[in-house]
Amino acid sequence: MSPPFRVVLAGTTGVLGVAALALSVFGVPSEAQPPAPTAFCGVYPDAPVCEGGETDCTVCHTTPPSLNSYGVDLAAALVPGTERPLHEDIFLEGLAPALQAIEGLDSDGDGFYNIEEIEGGSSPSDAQSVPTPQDCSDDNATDGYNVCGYDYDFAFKKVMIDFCGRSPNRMEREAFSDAGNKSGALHDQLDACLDTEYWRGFDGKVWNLANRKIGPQQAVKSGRDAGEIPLADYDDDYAYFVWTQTDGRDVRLVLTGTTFVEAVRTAEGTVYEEWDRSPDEDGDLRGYDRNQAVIPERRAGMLTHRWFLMSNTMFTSIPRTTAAQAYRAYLGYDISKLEGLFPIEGEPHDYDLKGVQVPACASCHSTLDPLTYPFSRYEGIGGGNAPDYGYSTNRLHGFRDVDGPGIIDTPEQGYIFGEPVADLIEWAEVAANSESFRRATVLDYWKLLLREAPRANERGEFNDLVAGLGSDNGWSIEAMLHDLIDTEAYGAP
Amino acid sequence: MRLDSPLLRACLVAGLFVACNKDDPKSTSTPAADVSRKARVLPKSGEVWGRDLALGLSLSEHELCRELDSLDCISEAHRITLGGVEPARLGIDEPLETTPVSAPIAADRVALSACSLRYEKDLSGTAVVFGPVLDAPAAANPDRPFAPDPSVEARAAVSESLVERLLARAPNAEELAALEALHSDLQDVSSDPTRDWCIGACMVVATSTEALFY
Repeated sequence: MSPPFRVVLAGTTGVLGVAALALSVFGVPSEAQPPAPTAFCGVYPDAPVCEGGETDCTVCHTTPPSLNSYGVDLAAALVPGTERPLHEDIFLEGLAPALQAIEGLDSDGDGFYNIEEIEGGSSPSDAQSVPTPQDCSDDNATDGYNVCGYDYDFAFKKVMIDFCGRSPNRMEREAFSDAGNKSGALHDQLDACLDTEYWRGFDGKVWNLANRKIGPQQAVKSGRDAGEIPLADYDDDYAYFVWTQTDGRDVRLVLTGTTFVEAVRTAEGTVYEEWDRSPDEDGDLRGYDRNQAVIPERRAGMLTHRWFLMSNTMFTSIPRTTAAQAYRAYLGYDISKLEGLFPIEGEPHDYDLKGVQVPACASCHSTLDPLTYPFSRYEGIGGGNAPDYGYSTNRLHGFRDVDGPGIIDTPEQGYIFGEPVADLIEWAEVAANSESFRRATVLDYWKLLLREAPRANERGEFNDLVAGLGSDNGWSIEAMLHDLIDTEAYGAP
Repeated sequence: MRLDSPLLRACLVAGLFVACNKDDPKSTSTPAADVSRKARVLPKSGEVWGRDLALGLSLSEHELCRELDSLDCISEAHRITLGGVEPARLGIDEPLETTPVSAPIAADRVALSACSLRYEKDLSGTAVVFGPVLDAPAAANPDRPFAPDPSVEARAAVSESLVERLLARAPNAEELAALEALHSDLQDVSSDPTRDWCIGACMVVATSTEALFY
């Protein structure tokens, strides 16, 4: 059954209608998109925003289902007088005339008509985004910088600053400027910078890229610089994250690895040493306030690290916060913003009697709860029948007094992107191999280096990077970065 | 940090205004120049800018600037203001999206400290940046017999050195003239125009848009 397109008409629907809309329209599968972006590009196939064949939700939405100014204008022009919500067929039929009807408007009030913005590669809903001047030629470049396109000298300076942590000195700038093969020299410089402490060292750029994934809190840290209540050591998480992002390693190990990494700080810089011990071996060596307690065969990269379980699962039987954080941090979907919803029929079952079957809750929990079940056998701080921060199939038996006898019926099997998975190991495999993971991973670096999400006319380059990660580049972040610095988004002044 | 001369502050503000409009030869306002398609000008993080400053002035990063003689300006006192993060204690996982109003003040304080330190070191030891000015013969001045009056050529040499060290390129004539003009402005209001000009010129270049952004 085709879902109703309530999204464009969010202003005329209630909260539940909006939620239901998001379930049906914005529950974006790993390799699929709702039809509106594709239909938009059917009307404007040559628009820069349609490089790659489709655009994304931000053309009309801020965070779906909320509409931006262009989306509001479009909603008003879309088959006016027809009862909402619109069926998909009616929506698609009415979309083209509605788009054409608002071409002559200036939705963001920046002085450019919507059609000028769409054709010029800027956003019709952002007054700060205006069409790119078309009368640009290399002959007009000023003082060595080619502001009309990619400029190697500019890119060289950026690489030095972004990856080496300092500007080039005059001698270095002149040497690069005189280089016969600037592309080769640029990539050689990137290779050198990728090995600097600034980029890959303790507290370096890659290290801090993990901040939002890890959520460190010094007060409950164990190990180095321990807090007053030492519960877990997030240094393990940071070190492991950097290790997966460097030296050409497979970035999917973030979610699928079974070993650990220690960051050893030496006079020459930070060295990342991989290690693999059983929970008891690690406890004997590092103490039971730091040991990684999940047995090797149940490990799923950073998802089963002690810190992740401690800070997210804590004392909960069905650790929805843990799954939601994994979904948000590694796959780019924030369920609290109605992103990445894939409702599963018959869910939520509400094994822990939290009242999530109330319709207003069920719209999200029909995705979130089955997303969470695979995490339910991993202990947090305590409460279940499992070693602290460890794994046990019987963990939920410890929650019967708190969450009711039905809690033990909670399956370990769950769903991610609408696909059934037997356990967290499978969950992580599906996640790591998804386009969502590649997209979220590339976006992390894009935003780190360019300080914003891809602009409308940069989506083609961004999509190429996403496609390249996992194909041409293997799964190497560093290979992806070599492609990223070649983009016009990065190298055009 | 020290700021002995109130006049220096006033002159720095004036000098900064001049420099900010003229410091980047690649962004001159020639009518025929193309407009950037990207216009994506990014602020350097405090860490990068401070390192550039330290390298340019041949200082170590840790001595660049300390608030209250105890807190490192860039890594501690002004860490967040200058674009840094502190996730574990403050919960600031990413640099602030917008530059806080205190950022220019913090940048000024770091640059003033660094430039002052470079001047003091040059005065008391082997000169690295300000040597031509410090070595220039004093001009006869009955009112201020001990005030040196270095030559224009010496100041030009220092200006050239500052731009080359801090901006990694040669200065243009307009920039040299702007820095020289700062000296003229100081002549009648400063009790130590040599010192104030050296530190002021250094600050003008170190806090220019070209030095702070990329």
